[in-house]
Amino acid sequence: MITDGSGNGAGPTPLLDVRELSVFLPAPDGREVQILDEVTFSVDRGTTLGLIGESGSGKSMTALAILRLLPAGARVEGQVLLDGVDLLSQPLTAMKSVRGRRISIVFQEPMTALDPVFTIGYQISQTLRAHREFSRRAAREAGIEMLTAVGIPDPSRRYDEYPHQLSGGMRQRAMIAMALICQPELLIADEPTTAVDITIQAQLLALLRDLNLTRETAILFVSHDIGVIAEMCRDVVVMYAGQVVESCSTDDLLERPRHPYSSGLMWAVPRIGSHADELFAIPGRVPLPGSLPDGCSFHPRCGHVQPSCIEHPQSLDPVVGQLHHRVRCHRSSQLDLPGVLDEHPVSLIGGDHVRSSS
Amino acid sequence: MSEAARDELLRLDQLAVHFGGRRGKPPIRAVDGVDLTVGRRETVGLIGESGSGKSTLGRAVIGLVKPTSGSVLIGGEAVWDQPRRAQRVTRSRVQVIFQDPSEALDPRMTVAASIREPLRIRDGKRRPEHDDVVHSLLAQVGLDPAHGDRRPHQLSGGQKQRVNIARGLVLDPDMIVCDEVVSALDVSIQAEILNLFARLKRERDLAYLFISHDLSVVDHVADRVAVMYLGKLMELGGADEVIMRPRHPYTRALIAAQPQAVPSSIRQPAPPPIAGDIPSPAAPPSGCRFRTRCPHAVDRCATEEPLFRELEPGHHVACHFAEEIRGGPPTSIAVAGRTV
Repeated sequence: MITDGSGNGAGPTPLLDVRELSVFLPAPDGREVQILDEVTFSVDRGTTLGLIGESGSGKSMTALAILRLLPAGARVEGQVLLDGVDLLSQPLTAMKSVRGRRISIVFQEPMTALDPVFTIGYQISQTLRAHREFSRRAAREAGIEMLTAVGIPDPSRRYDEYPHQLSGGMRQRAMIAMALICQPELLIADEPTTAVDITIQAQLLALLRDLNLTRETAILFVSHDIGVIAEMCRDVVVMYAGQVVESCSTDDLLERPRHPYSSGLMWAVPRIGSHADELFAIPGRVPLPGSLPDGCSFHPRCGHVQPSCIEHPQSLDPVVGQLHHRVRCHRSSQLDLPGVLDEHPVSLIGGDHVRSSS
Repeated sequence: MSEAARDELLRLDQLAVHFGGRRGKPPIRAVDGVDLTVGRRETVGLIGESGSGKSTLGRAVIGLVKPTSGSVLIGGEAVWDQPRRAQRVTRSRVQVIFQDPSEALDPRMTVAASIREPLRIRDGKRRPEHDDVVHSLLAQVGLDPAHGDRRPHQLSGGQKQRVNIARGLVLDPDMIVCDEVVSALDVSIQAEILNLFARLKRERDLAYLFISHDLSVVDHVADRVAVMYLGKLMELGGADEVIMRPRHPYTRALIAAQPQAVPSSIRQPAPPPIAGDIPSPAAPPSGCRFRTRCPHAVDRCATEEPLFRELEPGHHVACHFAEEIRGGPPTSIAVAGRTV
């Protein structure tokens, strides 16, 4: 569920409540550059939330900031509440009992996240033994059981193998096993399927969906792929240039996006069978941190821009009548933006619908 | 386009590329007997997982690897049988663009020098008229003349890919092999580059061999689609035929695995994903190469290799049971407001 952020107490405390999270990094010239700008969203127990955006949107930085894994010199404002306790106000050493035990993370590239000189089994059992009282033998049993749960065939043999002996898909399964061995309440998956083939991606997504259901592990799924988010996540947060520009249920985003960027993202991707002659390309590119335009950060690329968009920044506000749908756009109440079920948005793209062929 | 009317630009005749295989080790059969043609102004999409051999096939087409057997015909000329000098002329008709736009550019050369390089090599020296060609190409791919003086690190990923496209066009080829050319780009940039490819095709009568793992991209650009698995073609036909009415279990599995950006109200449950990884091309399974992951496999598939046969005009499938595998696409595909 997307909370309205005002903390008016409807419903139980969310598992993870990120409130106005801002991150500043030092630039080479000594100034500070703002990377994240008051990022706000929450994840309920056992649910799935997608974080979508292009490179430079700040989605991975958000994931790292939650786990306090930011580069040295980073300055952070706001709150990251895990079960109501602010992780940012605790001493950094307290994070040791959070990472891997309550919140785990799986990265895009399993080959760089796994240590090549230790066996898969050693790396899994270390996580377990770091957080819980487990004998070597018991950890081995639990590790093999976990490898079985993530669908690795012949798990007792694989347990003693090194990362290079596994295929890319198997490595990512091993990473997931490692992340889940302590039964965390939240799994952060940062583009976990971007480096694997589409058939392997389908296997991993099915696995993560299954783990979410059977173990009730909440998942924060970071991805650039709207299709993957649609398959995985109940709710979604769209990020652009370090800000949340829209947050709502995934179905709402797909059917009725309220931000021109969200709508544009959906229409930029070619869709099977759509036969569009031309794709909608969002003009321009994502601005660099530290050189954001005035007003709405998206205004130089937006087809619906008005003077007010250039003059005033916009806050993330609820859509009228929809408490859980929030959008950062001056004009959202006036716009009827196309979602994935709409006809080819001629207003966005122009041109005819004829397939280019010879 | 009918088979007879096609003005054939590229023909692969039982093309095979094997690697290694010395000292008793079995060779890696990256490409293992592929017949494929690309007509003038035609876009043929080539899809498959990593390890399917699709990139090796592309490299054999442009002459970066020598075929183990079979032939590559460009405009009717068997390239490898020609004398070296003639090979060079024939080859210049087919150019290539790779996935990583940064790695394909020399960081020390300016953009203009990179684009100019093929002309300099062709003519043996730099000529003044080369600069005009470079300027005109920069404009055609959507870059400013000022970009010509920059070096790759001063450009964004999308701009670098535009430079690669300009360089691919400088010898005025008939065809471009595009090897995962948009895989490294963000979606909004990907859309720009795909639109650029479409425009260049119209303006310059180009043909493309478009290699990609992304079905939706291939469906968008391709007139015909070839599906490759472990060095062999599994299915080949018109893009609509292959993607909307796939007849090979592997094609169906690829399409079913494609994540669908549709709301839950119209989402149809996808069949369970095919299990396992692609086997090693050094030891492909006996009979049908896909049988170890195929939900329909029976004993016959292990003993008898299915023929690559023409099921309907222009639609080829290598499966014993292609006749029984019918129906629409295996997942919910939203097409402009309706579900197919």
